[in-house]
Amino acid sequence: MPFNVNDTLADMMQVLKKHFAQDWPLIKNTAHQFLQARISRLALLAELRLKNQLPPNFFAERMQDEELLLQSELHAITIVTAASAQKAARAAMQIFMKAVSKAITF
Amino acid sequence: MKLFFKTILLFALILSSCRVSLVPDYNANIYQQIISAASRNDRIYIDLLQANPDNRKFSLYAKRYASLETAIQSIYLQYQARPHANSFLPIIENIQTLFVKFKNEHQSQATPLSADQVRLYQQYARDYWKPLLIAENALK
Repeated sequence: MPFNVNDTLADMMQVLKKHFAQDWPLIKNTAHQFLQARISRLALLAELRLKNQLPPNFFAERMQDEELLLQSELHAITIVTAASAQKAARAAMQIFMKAVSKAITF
Repeated sequence: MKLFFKTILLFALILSSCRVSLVPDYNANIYQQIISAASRNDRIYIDLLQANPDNRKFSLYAKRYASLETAIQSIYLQYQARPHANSFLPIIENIQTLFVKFKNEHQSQATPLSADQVRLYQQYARDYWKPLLIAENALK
């Protein structure tokens, strides 16, 4: 069965969407950026593999590296989500503080 | 009524002293170090691509690899010492792992690296820096 990079990545995107359900709007762009990079990387790898221009094991090693890259990307997505939650919490606190100082000086 | 306002004021003061910290504050200096290390990493592969195969020997690039490995370790140490930055550490560990792996492959290959191999290394190197840059940038 032929390997379709775009279909596979679209499926991966759906898995991420399901996993990060609530935070999806927040991380959609970052996830999309990572998946686009993966498309061009795997397309280049597949092209060179098909042309038989890579030494033995080189392809297998790069496929192993994909796992580490995916791990890093998921960590980055988690940080983007946490940073956004932190900004929201601080903004809410500022509003609360302003309201309290207004009430006190009233 | 006065007691009510005093209580609210006290509550607000306590809350204002508890800043929510899930991630560290943005650090422009570290961000610049990441950009610099990523650029130097990319430059190794650009130079390898421009060189003819005979000039792609590991020995010609060994010093640059060593210097870059030190820079990555320095970035790692800074994140280790930074409060609330634990979630960044696996990303940098993966950068270290892949950087050293590519360096070792370059060193151990008996024949010169082909342009295609270098293109792939370059692509992977660009992409292993990206999560760290995106994560640090999200702190802005």
